[in-house]
Amino acid sequence: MSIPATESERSDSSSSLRAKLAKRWRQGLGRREIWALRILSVLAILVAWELYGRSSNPLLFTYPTAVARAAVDMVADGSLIRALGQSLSVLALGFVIGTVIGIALGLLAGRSTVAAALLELPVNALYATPMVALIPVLVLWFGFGVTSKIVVVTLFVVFPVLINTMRGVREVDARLVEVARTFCSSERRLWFDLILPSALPFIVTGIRLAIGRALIGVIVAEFYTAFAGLGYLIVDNANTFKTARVFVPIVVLMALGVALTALLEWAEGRVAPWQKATR
Amino acid sequence: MTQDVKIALDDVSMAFGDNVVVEEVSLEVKKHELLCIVGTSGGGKTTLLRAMAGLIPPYKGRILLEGHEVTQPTPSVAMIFQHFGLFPWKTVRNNVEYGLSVQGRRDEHGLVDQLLEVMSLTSNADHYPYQLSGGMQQRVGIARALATEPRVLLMDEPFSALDALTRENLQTELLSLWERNRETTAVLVTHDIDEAILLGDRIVVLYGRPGRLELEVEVPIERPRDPQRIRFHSEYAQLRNQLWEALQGEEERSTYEHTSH
Repeated sequence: MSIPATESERSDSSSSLRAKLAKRWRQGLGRREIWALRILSVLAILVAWELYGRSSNPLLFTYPTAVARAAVDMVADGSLIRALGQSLSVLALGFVIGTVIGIALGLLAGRSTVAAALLELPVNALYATPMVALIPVLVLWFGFGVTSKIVVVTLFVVFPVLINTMRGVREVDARLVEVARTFCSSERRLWFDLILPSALPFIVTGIRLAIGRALIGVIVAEFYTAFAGLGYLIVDNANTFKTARVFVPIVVLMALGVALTALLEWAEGRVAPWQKATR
Repeated sequence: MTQDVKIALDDVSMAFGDNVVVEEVSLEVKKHELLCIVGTSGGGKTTLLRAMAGLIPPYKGRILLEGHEVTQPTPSVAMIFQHFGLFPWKTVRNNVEYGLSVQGRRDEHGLVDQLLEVMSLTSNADHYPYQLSGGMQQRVGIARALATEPRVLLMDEPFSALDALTRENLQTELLSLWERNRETTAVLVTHDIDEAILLGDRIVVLYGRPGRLELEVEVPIERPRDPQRIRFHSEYAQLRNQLWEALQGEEERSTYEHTSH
């Protein structure tokens, strides 16, 4: 009788330990532990990359320390900074133009059924079109200079912003529209009190999607067009098999994407503090 | 039309498309009176209130406010909503000021501050609605409506989204507010009989589908009323029973109709 009892006891304690681990696996991590795990995963990737990269053909692959060295060189000779400046100016201009057009058309289409009917098909068709396919044509139209690159970025940015803005305006709480009507709000006040603030999170989502697309847009445009920017740096170094130097602009782009998204989130928290509650 | 009638409903029917929800209601709301409209949910009482606010036109008949036909919302009418209807991105203070600012009026006598004080919202004035409990949110809704100093106050089940205790507290506060300062005329829509007796000067019962006006009674309990003792008033039980039966009759009739089909 005593043996099965202890066995069941043992299995009890082991199953409770398993339950504890399972619970910890799903939740129950403190902030510090989470950050430790995050850093650990990055370190593990870097170490694995370093070990594998050192043992492979340097023409085809590279490793983190070589990339770091190349980065120092490229900062020192000014090529990275120049390229970054060129890419950022294209990115900024195209992004601003695309966002402004997207928000303006999105607001119009969200509030006016006529505008929506006019815009819906072309916008959806163009949003579904891989914009990359248009780049050769755009180069033909706008030349190899900065203009065509700005147009490319604008096109990449405009549609996610437009579509999300339109959706945001349409999702305005009908009950709050009624509240505004009972207090005899004018259409202009309705925009500022209700439509814009309630569309804001949707607009931010559109912009977040647009950031990723804008980075793709600027790089692909630089692949095709003038000898400038981070995209050109990638192509040029790849063509001459300077693999470590290829990875430097790639890492910069990665950092840029992460930084811009974080900046957006921070800005959203400042502009729309009530949003935190719904997250 | 006499001076004493604030709102007059003249054979008003309400419909959504072909679906008639309120049929041929004629009703007068007297000046400085608090009228309660009681009915079961889905009985069209909210629809009727929205028509009084000028949000939707009657299907048939007309609604007169101070002798003029109601065709759109007017600044002299304010509304309190079941869902509170606060702007999530405005602070408590900005929500209370909303009606005044949207009507281009100045808060000359510091009414907003007074209302924040009366509604115990002063310490929460800079908070956002999501930081408040439901009861506090509805206090903001009440303050916002009162800030415009409306001549008519329309209340659409203002307490039914609240828990029982909070509801009683807010009913008590609204009662004392009302009894202290009877400048406005009010219509309160509710499905709660006790709420209607506690607050109303007069009660009408809507029942049936479409809703028809069947019972119209004065509340024979003098003001000021004590929420704790009103249930022991000699007239209370009889009135409550009368209203309860009127509301119950609707269900009996509809079950009868169903079985006879």
